[in-house]
Amino acid sequence: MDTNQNTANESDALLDEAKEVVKEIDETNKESRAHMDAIEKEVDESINAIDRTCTELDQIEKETGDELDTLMSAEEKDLAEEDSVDE
Amino acid sequence: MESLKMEHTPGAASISLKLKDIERQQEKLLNKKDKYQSKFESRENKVKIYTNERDKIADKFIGRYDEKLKPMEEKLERLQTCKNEMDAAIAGTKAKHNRLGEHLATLEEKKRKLEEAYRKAGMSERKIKKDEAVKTFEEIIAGGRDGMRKEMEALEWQKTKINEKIAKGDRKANPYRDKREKFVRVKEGRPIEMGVETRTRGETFKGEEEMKTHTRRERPESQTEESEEAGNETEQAKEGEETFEAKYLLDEWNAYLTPKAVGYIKDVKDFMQTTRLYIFSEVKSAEFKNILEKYYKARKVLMNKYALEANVDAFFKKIKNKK
Repeated sequence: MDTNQNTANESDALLDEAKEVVKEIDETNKESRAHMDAIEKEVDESINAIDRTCTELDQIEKETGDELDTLMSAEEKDLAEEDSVDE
Repeated sequence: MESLKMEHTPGAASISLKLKDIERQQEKLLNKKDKYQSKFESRENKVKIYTNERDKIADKFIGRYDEKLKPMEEKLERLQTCKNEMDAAIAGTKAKHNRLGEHLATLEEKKRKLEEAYRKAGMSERKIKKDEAVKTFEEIIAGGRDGMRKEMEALEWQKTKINEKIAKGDRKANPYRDKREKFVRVKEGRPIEMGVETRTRGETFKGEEEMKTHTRRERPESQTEESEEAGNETEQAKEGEETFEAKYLLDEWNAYLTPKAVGYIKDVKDFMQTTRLYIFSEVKSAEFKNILEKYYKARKVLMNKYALEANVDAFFKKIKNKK
């Protein structure tokens, strides 16, 4: 009876210990998942900011390109006019 | 000419006329030269004015572009740090899982001993298998192992997903760095110097305003890409090897390094948060090496991988002797 009781007690203790380990596993997993989610959120925010900047840079490039095109046309016209006057 | 006339040389008058004619032609040609020179100069200056205008536009573009590129580069840098922090967190979680897995193995060993005790007490094999406590225990252990495996798979999947996002962001940003250079190159097309000789006659041409070309901005220094070491993970933690508490290891590591050494970890809290270790987390030498390597990468501490390995090996030798 005593031996059986001891074995049962041992079995209960083992179960409790196993439950504790699994609880710790769950906590570790939960925590690391939350951490990874936080990293992913930050990555998403950074990517969105990069996307916004790319759009702004496209706009700057377009404006500058237009400005340069206008200038080049004016230069061509100006020099052509000068040539025609000389001729 | 005058002496020829005085000496009544025959043909002197005709020679004189020819000379006058040559002088007239010379004058005509010089006038023509002046006209073309003026034309050249006027054209050259116009081109220079347009070049300066173009430079101004390109400079304005580069200025506005840099203003936007700088925070974008910072974001890209931050993405790289996120990637490294993620690796450090996974390395720490793996170490924790290793310990938990070992703990489960110890419990399984205890369970085997318990089953042995049941057998000795005369319990049949069938009864042992059907025992509620044994069944529950097996379920708990299997659940724990399954939980760790699934979590590691999920972490690896999330890591791949995050890495893909980072690579996509970097790919998107890269052409914009090139575009900036395109506008730097726009300024490289300078007007061709005509090399027209300056006039030598007459004061009127003196003091002509020489157009100055704008100096080009210096090219930015080429960016050194962070050398990605071949991703060979550090050696696996050996089974049965001695473990040490993370906080103890960190304190000893800092003492081993001395405060001024590269790799000295001032912010212990940051180390624990980044690597997801607890101060009492038990860590083995190979795991510590791997975690340190990832943490240093995340915090941009430049330490050669082989030097780090040698240092950690020597460090563990020292602390094992100390014990």
